[in-house]
Amino acid sequence: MPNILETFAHLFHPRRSNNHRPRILHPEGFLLLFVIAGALALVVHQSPLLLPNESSILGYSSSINSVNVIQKTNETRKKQGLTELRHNPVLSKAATAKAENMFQEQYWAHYSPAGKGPWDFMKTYGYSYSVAGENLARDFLETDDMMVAWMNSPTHRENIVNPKYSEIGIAVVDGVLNGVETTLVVQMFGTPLQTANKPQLDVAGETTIETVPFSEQLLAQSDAQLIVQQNTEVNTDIQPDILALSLKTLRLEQVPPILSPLHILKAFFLAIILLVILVLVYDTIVVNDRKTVRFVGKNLAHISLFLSVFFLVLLFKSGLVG
Amino acid sequence: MRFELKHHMIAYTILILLLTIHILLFMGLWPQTAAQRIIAVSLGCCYFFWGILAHVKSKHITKRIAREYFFAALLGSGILIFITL
Repeated sequence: MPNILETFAHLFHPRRSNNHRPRILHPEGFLLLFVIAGALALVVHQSPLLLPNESSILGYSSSINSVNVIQKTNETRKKQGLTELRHNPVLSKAATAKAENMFQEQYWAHYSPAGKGPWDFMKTYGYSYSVAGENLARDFLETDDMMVAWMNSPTHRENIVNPKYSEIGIAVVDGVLNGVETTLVVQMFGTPLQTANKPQLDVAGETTIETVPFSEQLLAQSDAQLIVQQNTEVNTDIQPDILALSLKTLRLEQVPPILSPLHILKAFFLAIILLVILVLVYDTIVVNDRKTVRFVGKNLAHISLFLSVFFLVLLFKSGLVG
Repeated sequence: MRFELKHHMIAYTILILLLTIHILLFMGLWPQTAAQRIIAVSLGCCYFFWGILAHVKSKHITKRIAREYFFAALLGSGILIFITL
């Protein structure tokens, strides 16, 4: 017990044994904390790969749904004085297929490892376009954050406020990517060719799918159908909105992820930074009280630096756009 | 602490400015994590050089102090880099 107290005092209390500077504030102390932080980051990022069965614990539990994404996209366009995009179920079906393909082949990019691009998915579902585009997002918890992130990125913003587009398709699909449960959002834009206003669906035989305006009525209908279909197997012939929502519902029936890798890292990092700040403040008070003369770095400067880092870590949000 | 602030007013004003600029840039560049990592490295470098210059100016510089600033900057920017990975 006395040894533990001695070690504790040596680490955190300025005294003769540590040259009147808590050991944790020595250059070696900062280096040790840096190594610990790096090791934590490595463990958290590698644990899903090392423990694939733990994916129900680690992951991003998202509240994003396709309804909100379309609404927010159209709100943004309205603010720019542009026309609203019509929801096209064929585009949503292509977007859902793209999201499922990313989970199946474990990649996150516009092109699959086999070289399959968003245009290939559109063509597979019979969507003939004059112009088309795609936005991707993952690991976002809220729709608003995702929209802000897209709008902050010039290339994604260009897609959202492009006056050439008239239709939109959305897929919000939950799955496991690189060992971590996440929600992938695929946003496809397009303008159908004049000769192909009513595109044919290859996978649904000869069925003609009309381009329907996006409305609350349609979504309410989708929700009603979803309740009926909750316990049925997902098949590719159902409406894309229902497919996307069904996949989400099926996922929610399982245990949602408890912690996201980011939350774990944030907790550890904030604890490390807080410890350093507290020791710095304590050291300043003790040294001022004792009027100790020593040649060390400026505590006030260190406190300013670590307070800045503390707030940046605290406010950091998850989410990637592509 | 008041004595420290009073006698190094310019140095601390520069430090606060540097930190504020980096905080705004780091937050403004979200979610471009690659750009945020560059800002984190820049923050570490600026802090290290600020520390060295502040101590050179007050003629209280030793290798140990330089190492202290280097590793404090490494810890600060390292944590920001790790969180963006």
